[in-house]
Amino acid sequence: MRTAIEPTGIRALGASVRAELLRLRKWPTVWVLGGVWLALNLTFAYVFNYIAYTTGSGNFGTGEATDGLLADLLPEAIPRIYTGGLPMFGGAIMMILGALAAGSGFGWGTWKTVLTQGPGRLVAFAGTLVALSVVIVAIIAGQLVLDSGASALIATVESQALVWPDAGELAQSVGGGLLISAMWATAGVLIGVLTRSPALAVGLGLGGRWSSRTCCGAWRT
Amino acid sequence: MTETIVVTDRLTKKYGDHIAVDDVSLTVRRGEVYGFLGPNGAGKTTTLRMLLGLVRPTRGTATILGARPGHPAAVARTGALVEGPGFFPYLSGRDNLRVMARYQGVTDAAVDSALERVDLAGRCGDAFRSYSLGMKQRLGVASALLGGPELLVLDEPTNGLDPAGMADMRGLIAGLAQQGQTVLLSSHLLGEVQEICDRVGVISRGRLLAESTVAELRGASTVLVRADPIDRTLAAAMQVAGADAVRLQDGGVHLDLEAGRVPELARELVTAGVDIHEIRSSERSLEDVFFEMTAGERNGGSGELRP
Repeated sequence: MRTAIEPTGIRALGASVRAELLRLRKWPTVWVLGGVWLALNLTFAYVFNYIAYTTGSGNFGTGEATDGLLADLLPEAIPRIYTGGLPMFGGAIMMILGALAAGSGFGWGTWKTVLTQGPGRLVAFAGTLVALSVVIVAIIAGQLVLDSGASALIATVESQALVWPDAGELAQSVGGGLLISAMWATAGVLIGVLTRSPALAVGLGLGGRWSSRTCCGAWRT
Repeated sequence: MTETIVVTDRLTKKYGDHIAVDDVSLTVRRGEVYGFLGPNGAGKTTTLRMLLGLVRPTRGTATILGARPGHPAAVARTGALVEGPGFFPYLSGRDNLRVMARYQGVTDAAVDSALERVDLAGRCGDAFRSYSLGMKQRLGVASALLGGPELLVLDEPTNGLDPAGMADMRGLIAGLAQQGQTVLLSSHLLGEVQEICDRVGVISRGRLLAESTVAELRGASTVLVRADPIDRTLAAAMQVAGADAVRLQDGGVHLDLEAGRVPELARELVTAGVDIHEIRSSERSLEDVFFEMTAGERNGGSGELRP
């Protein structure tokens, strides 16, 4: 027999979050987007700059002299460079993630199916937001693990002392990363819901970020 | 078995100037398969969406399982498939149902039993996007069956299916009905409704034209007799069917008579010494009734054929 879950209660929200987490966890798109972000972060924050350091050609983005480069690649610098890529790539990826998570359901007809299962509109929507937050926390945590590993590896290879950053500083930086990511993802969700399709937000995510990158590049030169 | 579980009272939905559903008052009783019959665009889906609380009526009221549409008490005891199955294409059939089960707070065991009931257990591990239309529809029914709802609302469950898929779906619904499941289904296919429904509501241009059992709608069967001489034929026919049930039309004698009494009629005619050319019983199909009703609508007549 069905249990009548009050569609606005905390139990209903819990049920919605569990349902949304299941379908996000099994969605290859989520893994691809998370993977792309982690790979971009690793490439731009560590791989390119380490290559620049070893070849003596200056910072990849800013053209900073090689002296400061190694300091940025060590574990102690994680709080400093952690959120560096978020406005550029991370924001776009989170926006696309939010737009796809919320907007695709209109085309697939899954919102309609979900709403006939019992949850109210608000609870179903809140469930998506909470589940998406969990995904973002996982991605940000993954980034922290990856960055720590990369910087520790570089420190070891370059025979530098392993100095870990101040916990408060790190927490502040990671918290900032979470907020920036959540903001972009929420923007994606909102545009996805308002336009009842993920297309506009994905376009804005890709186009907007690309053009801002082009502008930044032009401004830098 | 006469408890009503769906009642609507002058349910109306307007979109701007267009009246999609106009003063629809219908009742669905527990344990029956109720067919909501009408051409495309007649207002069937809009009515069902109002009953499920997905659309607000402009006017009128509806009660489902003693609650207003969309109320948790009603939603929790209603399973629905509206406007085709909507599922996550990348998830397997079973995972799609597990997601819906979490929304409802029912266990994965309910998922497996729902898959069994629609005969989809063998393919439940495949991605939804790889399903045929018939399988997608069956998964939609399985999702509606999750958690054992008291009322099953199916909107055009055979839409777009090939003949084999349609037969499968009809068999599935008939099977559910045998287990005592109350089903409210809409269809534009008259034959389908005729075969599996206990009662039907006929809707056209947003208005409910008739509501009754299939047998009542089709009316009594008629028997046509062509025989000579006509006066003795008429007398014999009246003796069997009664004076009010016999009409002379186009040179033939039409009787309102059950098909089972045709041999008795034949004996009476032979005894009366008439030459029989033809005796034929004909039952009106629901299609005939339907076109009769909607013809009245199309010609601007009242179309009221409430038995």
